[in-house]
Order: sequence, then C-alpha cells, then structure tokens
Amino acid sequence: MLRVRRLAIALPFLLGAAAPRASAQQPPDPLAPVTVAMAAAERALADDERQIAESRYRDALYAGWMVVGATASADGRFKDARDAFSHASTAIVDSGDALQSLAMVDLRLDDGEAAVKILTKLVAAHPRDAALHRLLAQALVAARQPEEAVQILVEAHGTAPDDMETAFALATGYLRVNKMDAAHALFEQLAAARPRAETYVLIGRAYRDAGRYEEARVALRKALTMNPRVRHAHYYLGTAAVMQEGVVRVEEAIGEFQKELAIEPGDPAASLLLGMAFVEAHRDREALPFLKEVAARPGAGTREYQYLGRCELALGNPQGAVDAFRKALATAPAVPTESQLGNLHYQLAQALRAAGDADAATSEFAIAAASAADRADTRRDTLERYLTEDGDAPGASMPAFSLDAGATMRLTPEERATLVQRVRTALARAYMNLGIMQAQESQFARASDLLRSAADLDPSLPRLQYSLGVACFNAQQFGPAAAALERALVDDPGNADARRMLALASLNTQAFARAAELLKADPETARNPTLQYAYGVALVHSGQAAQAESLFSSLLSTHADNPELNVLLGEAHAEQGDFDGAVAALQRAITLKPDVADANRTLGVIYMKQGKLADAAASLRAELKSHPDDVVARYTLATVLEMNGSQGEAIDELSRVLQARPADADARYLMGKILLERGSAADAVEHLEIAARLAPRDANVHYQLGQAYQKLGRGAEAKKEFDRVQELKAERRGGSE
Amino acid sequence: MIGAILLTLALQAQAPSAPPARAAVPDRAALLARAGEAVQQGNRAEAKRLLEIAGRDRQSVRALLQLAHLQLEDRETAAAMQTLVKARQLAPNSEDVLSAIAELSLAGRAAVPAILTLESMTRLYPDEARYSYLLGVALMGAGDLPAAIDALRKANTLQPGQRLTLLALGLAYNNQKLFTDAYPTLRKALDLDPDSVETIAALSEAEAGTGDLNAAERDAARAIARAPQNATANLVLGMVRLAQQRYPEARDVLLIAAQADPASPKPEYQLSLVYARLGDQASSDRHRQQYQEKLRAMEASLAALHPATRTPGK
Repeated sequence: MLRVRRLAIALPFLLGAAAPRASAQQPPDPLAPVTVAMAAAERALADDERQIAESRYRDALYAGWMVVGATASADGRFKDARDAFSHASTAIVDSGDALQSLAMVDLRLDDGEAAVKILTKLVAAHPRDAALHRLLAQALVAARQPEEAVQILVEAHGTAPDDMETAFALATGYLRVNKMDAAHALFEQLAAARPRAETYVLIGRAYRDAGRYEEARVALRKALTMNPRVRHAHYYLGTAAVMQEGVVRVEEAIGEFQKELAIEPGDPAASLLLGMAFVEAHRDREALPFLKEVAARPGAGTREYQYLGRCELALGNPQGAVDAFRKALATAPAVPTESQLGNLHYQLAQALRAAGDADAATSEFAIAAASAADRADTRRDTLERYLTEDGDAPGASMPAFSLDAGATMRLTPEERATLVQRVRTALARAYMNLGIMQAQESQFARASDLLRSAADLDPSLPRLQYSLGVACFNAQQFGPAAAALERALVDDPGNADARRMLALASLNTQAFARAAELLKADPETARNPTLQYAYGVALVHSGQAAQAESLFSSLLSTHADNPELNVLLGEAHAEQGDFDGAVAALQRAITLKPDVADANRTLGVIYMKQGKLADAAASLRAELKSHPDDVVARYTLATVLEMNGSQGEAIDELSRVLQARPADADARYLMGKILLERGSAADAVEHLEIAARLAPRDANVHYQLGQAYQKLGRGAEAKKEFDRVQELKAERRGGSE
Repeated sequence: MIGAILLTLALQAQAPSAPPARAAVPDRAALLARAGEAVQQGNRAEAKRLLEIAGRDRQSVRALLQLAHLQLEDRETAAAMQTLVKARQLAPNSEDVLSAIAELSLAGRAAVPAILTLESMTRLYPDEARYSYLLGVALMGAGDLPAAIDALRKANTLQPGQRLTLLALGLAYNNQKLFTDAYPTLRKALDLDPDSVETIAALSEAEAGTGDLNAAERDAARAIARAPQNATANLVLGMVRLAQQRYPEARDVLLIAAQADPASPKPEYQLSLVYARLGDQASSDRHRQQYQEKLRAMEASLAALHPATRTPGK
C-alpha cells in the first residue's frame, strides 16, 4: 500500500442560506426552523464563531430531520420516519421530542422493546411527566410486559393522583393483569370524581377491551341512563355484542349501531360498522348506502372498499365489486398481513369471474392461491375479526397517541414530497459544512462521515464530491476517496488536484490501471520523482510490464544496489505470479538492508498465498519488528494467525490494528468474526456494528452481524441483517447482468 | 518500500478557507484581539474583563471559552463553570463547550452534570472513544458500576488498547467482583504501562478475587513498595494476611487502607472481621457500623444520580 501523508487542502464552505421572510399572510413554512438555523450558522461562521456555527448547524439537522420524520409519518412510511427521528435524536443535546417521536414510531412498527428502551430514559429524565409515563406503559404493554406497565402507572398515579388520564390508564392496566378489584375501585373513584355519562362510556369501553363484557354493558347502560344521547355508548354496546359472540349477535349490534347513528347521524365509525354488520347479516341492500358513504369519504381505506366490494358482489354488481376490491388492494397498508392480502385477491378474483373477465380472474386466483391458508381463513374475515384483531377507531385497547406531524399534515402528498426534497438539500448543506469544519480541524474520519451523509442526501451539491474525496483520502479511506473523486472529475474534469489524488487513491485501492492512466496524463509526473515512482508501481501492477521495465531500467541503472528498488522488483515479480523471482529480489533487498520497509511484509503475503502459514507469520513478525507501525503487516499477520487457528493471538494483533486505525472495517470484521466463533457474540456485535457502519455494502459483514444477533436472541435485528445480505447479493447480481 | 515514499503533493486551495460572506463584527474581533494582547502583556485581569464583555455583549462563545481557560489557569473553578454555562446557553450543541463542561465537572467530582453532559456527547458522537471513556469514569465516580462497565467496554471497542480505559475497566470489574474479567484487562493495561502503581494494585485485587493469593500478595507488595499509602494494595494485602490468619498484620495494613480511602466501605468490613478474630468485639462492631454507614452513603449518592439506566419494574 502506498502511504501518503495527509494533504493540506482548503475546503470551501457552501454558504447561501437565506433567512425566511416574515409574512403575516403566508402560512408558516415547515422549513422555516431549518432555514433560520442555517442562516444563524452561516452568520456565526462569518464571525469566526465556530462553536455557535456547529451548534446552529446541528439545530438545522434536528429541525430538518424532524420535518422528514413528520412527513414520513403523515405518509404512513414509518420505517423512514424511524430513520429520520433517529437522526434527529443524535443531532442535538436536547432531543427529547425526537426521542419521543422515535418511541411512538417504534410502537407503530410493533417494536415495543425499542420504545421501552427510549421511554425508560425519558421518564427517568422527566419523572413528573404523566403523559410520558402513560406512553411508557403503552410501550411496555406492546412489549408484553403488562405488570411493569402497571407499576409505571402506579408510580405516575402516586405522583399525580388527580390526573384522570393516568388514573384511567392505571385502571385499564389493572384490567389487563386481571386485578379486577383494583380496577373496579379506581373506576369507582373516577366515576365519583367525574360523575358524567362520558366517564361511564370510557369505563365501559375499557371493560369491553379487557373482554369483561357484562361489566362493560353495566357501565354503558349506566351512561345511557344518565344521558340517553351520550355518544359512543350504543356503539360500544354493539361492538361488545359482536366481540363476545361473533355474528350470532349481529342483529343486536345492528340495533345498537342504528341507535348510535340516530344520535350522531353520519358518524363514520358507526356507519362503517353498521354497513359491515348488514353485510354479515346478508342484508346487503341495507348495507349499500352506508358503505358507499364511508367509501366516498377522504381517507377511506382497505376495509371500507373491501366490504363495499362484498356488498356489490352480493347484489349482483360484479363490476362495482371489481372496482371496490381494486381500490381495497391499492389502499392496503404498507406492510399488510399476508392473510388480508390473499383474501382480497381471492375476493377480487371472484368478482372478476362474475364480471366475465376470466383471464384477470385466473391471475388473481393464482395470487390468492399463493397463500392458500388465508383462503381457508376467509370465513373468519368478518366483523368479529375486524373488531377483535384490528380494533375500531374510537375503542383501541389503549388510548391512541397521535404522531403530530404539525404543519406537514395539512399538505398534500405532492407538497410533502416537494418539501422533503427541499429539506434534504438543506440537510445536505448542513452536513457538508459540518464536515468541512471537521476537516479544517484535521478530524478527517469524522469529516468523511459527515460529508458522506451530505452525499447520501444530495450528491449533486457543488464541490461536495471533491470535499468528500479529500476528507476520505486524508482519513486513508482510499476506496471511498476514489469513488468520490471520480464523481468530482465528472463535474470538473480539469481539476488537476482531484486527478492526482484520484491516481494515488487508485494506487492504494489496487486500481493500478486507473492510477497508471491518470499519472501518465499528469504533466507533473515527468517532473516529480515521487510521482514517477508511483507511476512505475502502477505500471508493474497493471500488467504493463514493458513500460515498467523501461522505467525501472532507467532507475536501476543509477540505483542497482538500492534495497527499496529491489523490494519494488520483488513486488513486480509477485504481481506477475513469479513468486520465486519475487522471493529472490526481496531476500536480496533484505541482505542489502535487513530492516528495509515492506520486504518482509511482501514475503509474508507471498508465503500466505502459498499456504506456508508458519513462514508467513515469521516474515510478517520480522516486518513488524523493524516497522511496528505497519498496520497492513499487522492485519495480514492477524489473518494468517486466524487461518492457522491461533485465534487468541489474532485478536491481540487485531486489537493493535484497531488501536492505530479504529475505523478499519476489515479489522473490525475479522475481529467480530473471530469473537463470534469463540462464542463472544455480544463482543462480536460491537465490532460488527461498527464494521457495518464503515462498510455498509459488505454482505459478509451483514451476514456475520446477523449471525451474532441470532446467537443473542435478537431475532428481529438478525432478520434485518440477513435481508440486507439478500438485497446486496441481488444488487450484485443485477450489477453483473 | 512504497510506503517510504514521501509525497510532496502541493495542492493549492480551491477557494478561500475563511468564509467570505460577511465581515466579522468589529467589536467582537477588537475585544478578542485586545484580550489576546493583554494576556501577552501579562495583564490577565484586563484580558478576562475584555473577554467577559465579548461574551456578554457580543455573544461570543469563542471569548467565553478563552475566559474559562484563563479562569481555570487561575484556579477559579466555580467562575470557569459559570462561564461555560453561559457558553452553553449560546451554543448548546457545541462539542468544544460540552467537552469543557464535562471535563471540568469531572475534575470537580460533580458526577451528575458530568454524566448528563457525557451521555449527550456519546449520543452526538457515538464513535468517539474518549467520550465513552469519560462517561465510564464519571459513572464509576457516581458508583454506577454496571453502567460504567458498559461505557468503558464501548470505549475499549472503539479504540482498543488504551491503558487508561483498560485500567478503569479493570477497576470497575473489580468493584463488581467480576475478577475473571478484571484480570486479563488489567494484565493488558500493565503491559502498556508496567510502572503504573494503580494498575499493579488493581491487578493484585483481581488476583485475590480469583483466589491466587500468592500472586495477589506479590503484586500488592510491589505496589506498596512504590506507594506505601496505596488504598487498594493495602486492602488486598490485608485480605491476604486475614486469609493467612496473620491478624495483627492484617489490621495494620487495613487501617492504612481505610485512612487512604475514607469513603470506601471495603476496608471497614475487612477490619470488622479482623477485630472479631482478634477478640476485640467493640472495635469489630464499630467498623461494621462504619461499613454500613459508608455503604449507605454510597447508595444514597447512587440514588441521587440521574437514574438514566433504570429498568422499569425494578
């Protein structure tokens, strides 16, 4: 490897954020906090107040990622939202809102454990925040820790006994863990404190959700006694009937839903359930107006269209059914359950057949057949299943939290997409300038991370690729440096510095042909012996032996006994597979100068390739004796030791490699792999997670990380890694085609 | 060979490194310049006055950091902390400001602010080993050993082979009675710094914990030879003497250990055992009581700590 010293290059900041113009008439721009923070950062840079600049850029990152998270939440893209809130939470010190949003998204993604981890810390930091306690309790329930949830609520209730929401949540928690007496007592206290019909409706709903239908009916009827027009009481009575005994009591449910609609005509939830109940009761003609009404509302979803489709089909309108089922499929959730989708395809196929479109029906039947088990489950796709598995809007088992997407909720999806693009560009600028600040402090590894983040968001920012190339080069991350510099040259082909750096980066990544091509075209090569030498190396290793020989002949004619040149000759022989010639030249170099750099390392590599592991280890140790800082030799020695079964020694060597180069992805990978083999999965994960960050496209790293997670019982994370392996393999296959 | 090449690649700046967008605020720049001159002339009071004005009236974090630096040099620790708090109000997410606060808090044994600051820093800079190390040290100072071990292990993963990290990790393992983990860790620390008395003493504790009393006695004696008042080494030697039933010698070294680390309950517990063996029940009871008091004090300080790592339901 060609070692180069760091390059002193001044990188320019990308300035130009304009402060938002205030306007009383215009609605607030969701991007305003980002723009304000960017403008403040740039003012601070101009004033040479770097600490303030850093702080404000981080504010901009926080505000920007929060907007991205909010828009993703509004669009139902919860994985993207999680990613965005995760970035926001690591942008600034006081990131409680981001962490809370992250926990909420984790809950939406059914990852209760992750939410618990975050909320536990937040609750500890805000011990008097009852809402946070309730959210933590909700997360604990999702993580199947209902007892712990109750304990958290007991604490919160003790701190704020007059907080009715917490008291209600605690009583509901008691129901969940079957502490009926405690629940009854708390509900009585609540009813005494708020002796209103609405209170009994809430209590009735809580009993219903806990499957205590008789208690639910008593509470709901009490509510109706106090106020015959109280909302939702009839609704919950209807749902309780179906939840308890299924469609057997569907007529009773229909009666209750009709009473609910008499109190609140057009209520969407009651209209939907009444429509569904009519379908289940085969009273399709009565169902149709209700289902048409709910399906026509903005935001109508899969369930509305699916029941409308069933209703239309039963009424002999197959084309109407086809239309409705197609809409049901189009609005299916981002991560639908297999059974729901399979069933929808099956129902669509039936409608298509009835409409006379046999080909399309066959195709849909085939899709549905892929989940045959789901078809068998069709009979369960009833009102009962909807109520017991999906929950109904006003009566979910826990009070529904709202992921407040703020102003972004008022935007159309298209406006949100435009907004996100603007935010991404702003974020990229903030990352870029933070990266340049780090580069100016010679923190090149950090700089390259930040600049890479900028490039991920908006690779087309002016001079971003060049800055990234410089930072990576100086952080000795030659692969990424070469990639970034190649892109920089596309935009600025005349940039001689970029070309030269690219040549050297290519040399270090063994892209010798590219290095030779660039150095040949560089007028500086003829004048600069160092570059001439590098050119020679590139020629040797790129199979251009004739040109290399000519170059080296002229060099050897004046430096025949030069040990370094003999090492180079040895490397040239080795490169061409002439190991005997290589060994001879290298040994001559060692004879001329026993501690000549790289000779023993190259011998070690040759012996390793020949399978002479003991000789390889001896040569590499000899190299390290005279050049203990040769990290490549040490890493190679670790590899040889690992191949030889000396895992303990390999770990010692890798520790020293990582001491010198903490960001060495190969060393992290090998360390993790060995630790995993030795049964230290937790330690392995620590290294492999870093390796995955450093080399996110290395399938081997993700595979080992998946294995490590699996050994630790972290199944969801393991699956994610194995999925990533498959993705990378698929990409590679795609790339090779 | 190739590595011996020194590249003399002189790349010229592509654009001005200083941002050209706006001229610096003259007052601020002038104040900073005058403060610099005052320092050079040895007039530190004037320098501090000017920097304070720049911080207060011109919102200069640069000035406040320089002021805190001068205050620390003049041992005005409380004033320095106040200055840094002002800097944090202006730049709450600045690494320079946060790390200065964390280090000053640590130096002043203010565990809670140090921990809170370092927890944020490990979130903002997850790959920076130094902050995980400092967090581990702060957590150790607060007595939260399990959390300290997590932080120190992370530091050791991010940047392996740092002697101070290894020593701190070894000490934390010892405190948690994880002696089989402590031993190899401290062995490595000693390889990196063979003259460290603290490491030798900690190693002797790990050896005693794993039952290797001969090695423990040897290493404790080595540490005491270099630092006769070393608390850990005297404690270990006392435990070894107790095991050897050499009670008067055990008592003498344990008394040194108790005096050297008056907050630690460990020597008190061992002294209560020794005095009981010596038939001095009154002294034994007194030391047992002191042990319990010190243990309670330690638990109280831990309870006062921001319970960031607590587990629900526990």
